[in-house]
Amino acid sequence: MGYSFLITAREGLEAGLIVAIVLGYLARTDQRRYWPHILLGTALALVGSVAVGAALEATASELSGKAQEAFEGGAMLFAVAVLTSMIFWMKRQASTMGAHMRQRVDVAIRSGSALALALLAFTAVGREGLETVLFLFAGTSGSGSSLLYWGGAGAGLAVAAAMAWVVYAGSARLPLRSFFNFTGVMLIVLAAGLLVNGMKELHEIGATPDLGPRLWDTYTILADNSEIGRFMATIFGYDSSPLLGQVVAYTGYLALTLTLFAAGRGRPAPPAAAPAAAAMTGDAVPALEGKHG
Amino acid sequence: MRWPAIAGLTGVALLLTGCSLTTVSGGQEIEIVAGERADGSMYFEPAEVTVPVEAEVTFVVRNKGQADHEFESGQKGEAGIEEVLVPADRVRRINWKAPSEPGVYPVYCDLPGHRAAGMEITLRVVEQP
Repeated sequence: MGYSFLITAREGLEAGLIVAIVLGYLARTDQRRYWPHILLGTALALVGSVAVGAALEATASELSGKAQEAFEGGAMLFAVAVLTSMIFWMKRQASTMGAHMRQRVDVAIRSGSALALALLAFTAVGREGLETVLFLFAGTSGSGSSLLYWGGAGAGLAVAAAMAWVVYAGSARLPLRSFFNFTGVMLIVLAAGLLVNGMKELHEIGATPDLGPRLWDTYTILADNSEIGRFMATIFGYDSSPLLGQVVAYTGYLALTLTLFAAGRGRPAPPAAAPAAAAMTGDAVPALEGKHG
Repeated sequence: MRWPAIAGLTGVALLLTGCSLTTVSGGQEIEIVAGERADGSMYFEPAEVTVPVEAEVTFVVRNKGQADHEFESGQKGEAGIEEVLVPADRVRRINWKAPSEPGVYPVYCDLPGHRAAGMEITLRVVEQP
């Protein structure tokens, strides 16, 4: 539940901020007539993301045995790569995102194409949606109760929607930088857990090199397949008898990424590269610069 | 300051020692032994297990072999026993509730080559005697 809540709260807020900022900017510049295009693009992105998530789940459930474990393990490692790059990309871009998003809106409006505006919302929100379904899919195999898991995801979305609304309404100044820094650290911890869970899946089917001996056994203290054990496995990649390779990967990943994150390795993107990056990926935290609408 | 700390430590101690949230227990225990034979084949013993419908069971799987093994019956149409890895020379416990209808299900180790080497038992769910 904690995992799914954190994922949807963070990703949902990124998507929500995009919509809030664009709608706010259009309202402020007396161009509310373009709202339906933005809302249409957003709705299509959400539907598309859910469809991709359903396809991932359907594909995994159709597979069995080795193929299923390979698919799930591969998805986990892919999610770690995407999650890690997203966290650092976000840290680099956060301070300039608002301006880039508004630039993109201006360009779309000047082009005179309603489709361009809808496409802008579709690509920006769709990116966040695809990340969300990938991370949620990667976490499902370790979750115990599916009711709690999806309940947590729903609660995270509700929190994200509420925060995005607050930003749009301009009724309060949210500590967004602190929020993204905090969730960034939490996501790094989650990604470390996903990393070892993915390694475990792939090791079971013999798709990894020898990961060494099992270092200890804490099953009698906390069983992997107990209620709390499952939770710990999802959040921290808990394994009661981990292999040497898993322990090295976990500690190495955490040490490296947390150090880089704390050191603020995310230098601001060069001006020439920023619009291109924005166009490719969709910006997410324009409100870091202040309130809009 | 002391009381909250004592209460917190007590809570953690309770959680980590006897609490059902951290351990797997509760049903009628059925011992299963896993391992490998000198001829290269692998086994679960006993080769057949019979339980009544809706019985609450705890499989206690003891791996006496040199290799890791799994214990599961979780694919579509199977018994719904979650996959649990049992490292060499370790014991793992799995809770399971039998279906409400009689049936026959395979329980097996899904690690590459293990099922083909003999690691499959038959789980029979029968009407209450």
